[in-house]
Amino acid sequence: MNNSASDRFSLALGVPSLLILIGAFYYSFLVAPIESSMAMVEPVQRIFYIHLPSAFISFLSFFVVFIASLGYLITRRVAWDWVAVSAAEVGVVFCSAVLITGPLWAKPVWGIWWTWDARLTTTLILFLIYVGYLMLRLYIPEAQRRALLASVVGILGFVDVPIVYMANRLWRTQHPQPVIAGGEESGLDPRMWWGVLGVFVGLALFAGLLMRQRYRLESMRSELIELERSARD
Amino acid sequence: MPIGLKHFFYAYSLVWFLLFGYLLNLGLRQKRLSEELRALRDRLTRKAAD
Repeated sequence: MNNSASDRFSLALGVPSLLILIGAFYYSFLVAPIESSMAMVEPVQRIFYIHLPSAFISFLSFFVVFIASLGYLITRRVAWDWVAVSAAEVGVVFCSAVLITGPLWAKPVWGIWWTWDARLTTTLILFLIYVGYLMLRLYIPEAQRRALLASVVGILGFVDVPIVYMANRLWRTQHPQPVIAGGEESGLDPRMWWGVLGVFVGLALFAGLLMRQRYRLESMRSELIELERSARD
Repeated sequence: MPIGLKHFFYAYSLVWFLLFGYLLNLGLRQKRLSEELRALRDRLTRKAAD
């Protein structure tokens, strides 16, 4: 993809993303109802509309890392490795958003910033696994060896995603019980779902934009290395 | 002030700061790389001409 096509593609992701997010946040803050048990701390409950979609996007990004890592191991095409590193970085950014918004929501509701329950701890571990993945890449100068080892970590690291998802189903946690597929007593008011869905779509497009830009960076870096090699020859 | 308004404000501000900060960081890294690429291409063109 040349530069102008790439810019158009980024614009095609960025503009709808911002428009959808503006509409979705307007709806979530002013139209969607408040969760009944949190009426006393009304504004803070609205953190839900960024916390849950950010968690979904980080899971989705780590799934892309998993698929791209498998793709690299099977085909040994370097483009898969670029997709994997781009998705890992974006996943870490969204996982950071989850770890920032969670404690800010917890403090006024639970009275504490953090507790070592299964959901919170496994999420922190997930974050650290992919920070480790990115650090590993920094310490291996040789491209093929780096891509190979990173693919293995990218595949093994994904094991933690279903554990995070299942944590509040398998163990008693301070974190609220699941709102998706959590049994008969779970679920959300449909009007709240529209807010979550809108923010999710907007953030997913924004994540796509970030991944695209990160991928472009990786392809430019590869071109630079090739040119440096031909300059030396 | 309603309970939790401060936390609500911090949560949304920090997330947007994080997302746009990362986007800005990507843009700056791309700019630096494209300058390096341009300089290297110029050097190679001059070398080929000599």
